[in-house]
Amino acid sequence: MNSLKIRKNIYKLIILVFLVLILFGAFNISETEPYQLDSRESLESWVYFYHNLQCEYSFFEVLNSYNLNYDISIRNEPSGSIECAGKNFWIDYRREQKIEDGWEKYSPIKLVVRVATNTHVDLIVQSIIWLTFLSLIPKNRHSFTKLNKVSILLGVLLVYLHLIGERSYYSTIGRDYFPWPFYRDFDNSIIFDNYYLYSFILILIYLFYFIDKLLETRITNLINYFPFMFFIYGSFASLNINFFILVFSFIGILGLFNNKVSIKLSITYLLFFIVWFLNSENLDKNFDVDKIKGFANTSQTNISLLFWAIVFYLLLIGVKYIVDLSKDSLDLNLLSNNFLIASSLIVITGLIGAINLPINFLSFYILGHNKSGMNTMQSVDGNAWRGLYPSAESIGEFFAFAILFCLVTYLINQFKFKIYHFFLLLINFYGLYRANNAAAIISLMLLILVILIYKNVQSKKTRNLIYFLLIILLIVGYLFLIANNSFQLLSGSVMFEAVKASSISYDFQLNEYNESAIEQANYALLLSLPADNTNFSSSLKYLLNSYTFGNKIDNVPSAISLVSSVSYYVNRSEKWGIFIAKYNPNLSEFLFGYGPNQLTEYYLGHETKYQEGLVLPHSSLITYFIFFGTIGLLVVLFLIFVYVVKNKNDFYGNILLLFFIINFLKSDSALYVPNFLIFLILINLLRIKNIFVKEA
Amino acid sequence: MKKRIEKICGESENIPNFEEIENSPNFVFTPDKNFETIALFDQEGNVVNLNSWLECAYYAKGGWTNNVSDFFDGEKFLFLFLLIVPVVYKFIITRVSKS
Repeated sequence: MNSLKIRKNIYKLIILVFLVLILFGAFNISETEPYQLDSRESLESWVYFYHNLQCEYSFFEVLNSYNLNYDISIRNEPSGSIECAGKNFWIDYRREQKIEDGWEKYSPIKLVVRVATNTHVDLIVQSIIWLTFLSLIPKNRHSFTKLNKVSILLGVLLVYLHLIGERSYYSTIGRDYFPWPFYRDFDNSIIFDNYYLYSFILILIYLFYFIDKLLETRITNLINYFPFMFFIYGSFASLNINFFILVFSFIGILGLFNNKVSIKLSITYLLFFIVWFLNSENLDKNFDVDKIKGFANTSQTNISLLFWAIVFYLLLIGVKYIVDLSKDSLDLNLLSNNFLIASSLIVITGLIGAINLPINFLSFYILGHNKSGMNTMQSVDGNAWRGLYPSAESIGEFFAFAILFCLVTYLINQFKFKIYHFFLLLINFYGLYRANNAAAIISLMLLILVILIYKNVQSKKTRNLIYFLLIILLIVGYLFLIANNSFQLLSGSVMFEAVKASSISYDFQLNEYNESAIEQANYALLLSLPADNTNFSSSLKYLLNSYTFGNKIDNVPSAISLVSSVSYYVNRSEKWGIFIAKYNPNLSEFLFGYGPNQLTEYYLGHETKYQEGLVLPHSSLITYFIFFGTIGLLVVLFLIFVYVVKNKNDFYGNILLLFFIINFLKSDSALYVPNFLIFLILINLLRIKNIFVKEA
Repeated sequence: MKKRIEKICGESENIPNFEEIENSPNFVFTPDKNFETIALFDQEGNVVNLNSWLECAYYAKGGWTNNVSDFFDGEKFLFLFLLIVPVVYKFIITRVSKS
């Protein structure tokens, strides 16, 4: 890249930062002086002052007026009006509260400054930011000229579907929300004054026009820069949509126009869609998608189901199409380099955000993360530190994958390792250590060990023997762990948690230790109680029956016992138990699922003790089982198996794939846009023959 | 106007005749027991409590509201702005390239 281009890119970034600073009023001087808070006694008055003068001050002014030492954080409030965007909306204030059973012990004061954001303003400002980031990608060697302008219209229509379908979410945050272009007045005349919709559509037209323009000259280079999606997450602050979902859906539309569609896939998908549509109950619910915002349906309407089904289909086509287009432009050296730079940027920005509150909030907005970054260097409950990413587990997985990917490309002579890569790797390792994702660390170590054996042991027989011994060692180690606990405890841990999570309304008689049938794990008794009292989900009822009365072979653990005892050691008994307590499908939902990104029915359809807050199953396998059912999941697993068998000689490719397969068993990563896309991209990259084969 | 009234006063099966109200200087709004009193304010900060949907609709039509953001139609402003910007941009680009 020549110096002129670099200078141009730096100017672009400076303008961007200024744009965001202006939006959030960094240079704002309000007419009324802010209320200066210097003593604890005035705290209530300070809060009251900003409640009364809503939309008057920038969050910089609010923060500058706060001179106490209690922790304070900044969050966005998506229900702001256009003129209020970027200003103070509200301050959440929770006084010290006596901790239950504590002796004169109080929880600390909690202060959250809510900054107003607005659907339209975010759509404009954040689009400009991310389009500018896209424009930093160097242009293709050859201009791509097959773009179709009708695709812009289809892209706009797609997002319009989203706006109609998720009305319960958008009407909650937008006072002027109305999804139709006109309405009838009292005298039956037709009125065209829905500027909420007109401006929304107009922004989308511009957005897709610029995406189209940028892709025209950059589409084949995009693949080399996809690791940056983890840094620039692309979730709009006030919308339930992700910028990169729009980009890849748009590429999917282009793929459709260029006949890059598998007929088999389309017909199978259509059949699934018909079942989802017939099963779907059109309910006006609003499901808080929290940290998976932008990649999960908030509502349960037929139109929102249609939107997410189309988006998922377009993503499959879009990723396949872009990988096919980029075969010649793929540069593994550049890709590895970008993996390390992106992961280092995530760690560094997370660290800066942890010590500086305004930067924490601005990085959330500029980079479009689903949650504000952590405003402390401390790990949550001494466990994991997620930095600015919404999930520690998922970002840990990315750090580990980045290391593995660089190692693979280095070993096949496709990555020229330089001194500065060493520093980037160190930062990456630090991120992995802080994310504390044990599964990612262990799988990374194991796979590196497998690679080392593969590289250093030439004889295939000896190699297989070592792998066999390694597996035996792991099993023995596992059995050794099991030996410390009773098999009864391990085999029933998931069932126990599932029953505990269920909303049981029965007046149990307690035993001498004050334990009810739930604590005693007396499932035979629980199953004999009236269904109205136990309120068990269909899956829990089935599993409890099978666990308690099912056929048993002596000395052979049942599948339930085996999964349960594994879950205990991977710390998933509780999460998988809650999943069983919640999962209440009918037969066709069990076979075909609820549809892609549909968690509302699963989550709110059956009452358990976990109705509030987002408690995910913590397994991508389970999540996709919810989405696509038994048949869908079996199809996907079969396709992966066929792929692995077909490409058994692509050792390094299979290693990379294996990493995801292991981690997806116990992490929710496939619910996060970048993690899902990276897996999809990898699967498609591996279709290219000899991509991870050693160069001479 | 219907959309604005419904936003402020809620939905109703009544079809208001505003002309009749305006032309009757002694028109008295009958309080509705089933209607939860709504307080509306105008741009000067005057507050009024309204006891029936019809009364609320009448005031909402006259510019009173229960939300500050109703005094400024941000979406309309944005729409016009978005329409004008590309025209101005095109005009400037054309002038620059000509010169």
